[in-house]
Amino acid sequence: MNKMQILIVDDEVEFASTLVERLVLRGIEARSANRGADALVLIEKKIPDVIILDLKMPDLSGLELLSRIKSIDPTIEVIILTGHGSAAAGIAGMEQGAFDYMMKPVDLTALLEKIEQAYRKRLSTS
Amino acid sequence: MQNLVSTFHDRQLQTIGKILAGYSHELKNHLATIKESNGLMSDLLGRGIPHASVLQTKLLKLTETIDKRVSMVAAMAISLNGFAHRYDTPLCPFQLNDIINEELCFLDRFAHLQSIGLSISFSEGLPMVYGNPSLIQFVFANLFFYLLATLQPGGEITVSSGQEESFVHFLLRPEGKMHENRPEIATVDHDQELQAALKVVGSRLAMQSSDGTIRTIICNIPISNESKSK
Repeated sequence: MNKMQILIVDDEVEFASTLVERLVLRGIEARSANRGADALVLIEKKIPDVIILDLKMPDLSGLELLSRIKSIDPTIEVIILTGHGSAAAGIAGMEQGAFDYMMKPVDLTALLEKIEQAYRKRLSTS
Repeated sequence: MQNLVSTFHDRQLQTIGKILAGYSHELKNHLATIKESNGLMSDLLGRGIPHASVLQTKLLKLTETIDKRVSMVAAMAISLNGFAHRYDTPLCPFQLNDIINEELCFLDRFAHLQSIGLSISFSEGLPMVYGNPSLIQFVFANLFFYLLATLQPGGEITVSSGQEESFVHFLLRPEGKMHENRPEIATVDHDQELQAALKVVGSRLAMQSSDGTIRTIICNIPISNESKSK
């Protein structure tokens, strides 16, 4: 059985790399990109099952990237992870097809649960 | 004077809201990194890595990350504290470089997200100004946001300060490619709230442009503005 593939897209380099390492320690195959353009390259190379996506990045906004991701493969599930204080941005993301949104700083157990739910949905639709 | 103040009051609150929303977003980013670094340390210690030196290297790197992020959050808290105090004592002596620097801590993020660089060159030894620093910050932030709206990614904004006779000034100079559909220079002249705030603090703007492109914005602030600010 294939391992779950996760891609973390966040311009906070240390945050993304640390989260990758924590997921890898839990047996999940995880990669990270710190720019929207780099994320698109990684996605083209190997389609991830679930993407954890920051909304605010210098080159591409999270919502723009979400739309590009969905045009590559609409079954990739995207969880928005945002530092926004209001739910408005997350809801806007869900309206564009994101699986769900969570706010930073996030509890890892809650994030893992959300990833698992998103992965199950991906398996049922792809 | 009260009529003038009511003109820009809502806009001033809007500007503060925008700045603080960006600030708290940044704060949460630092806290998220601290939380994950701490979590990874806990993971590593809990699982136990057979090679002690590998574990030690990883833990040292994580403690450095936490230390760096805590320092950044502390610096942001100092700026926030200073920024907040500008409102509890509206009329006071202040150093122009200090209030611009304080505000740039918050505005830097907006430039970064648009891939626009900042270059700062303050004149040393400027005299203290007596006036309303929060209104100067309001004016500065709005001019800064205006320039951000005109510049394409890869551009740069130079911020400098200086003194001429009984005025100190800050200067903003955009460099790089401008958006084709950028706001016109007249936007600043016709900005009633901004103009009202300038009037209250007794300041005036000098803008230089060529070919419809803004080259510099200079805001002159009287060193002693006690009578006008009251």
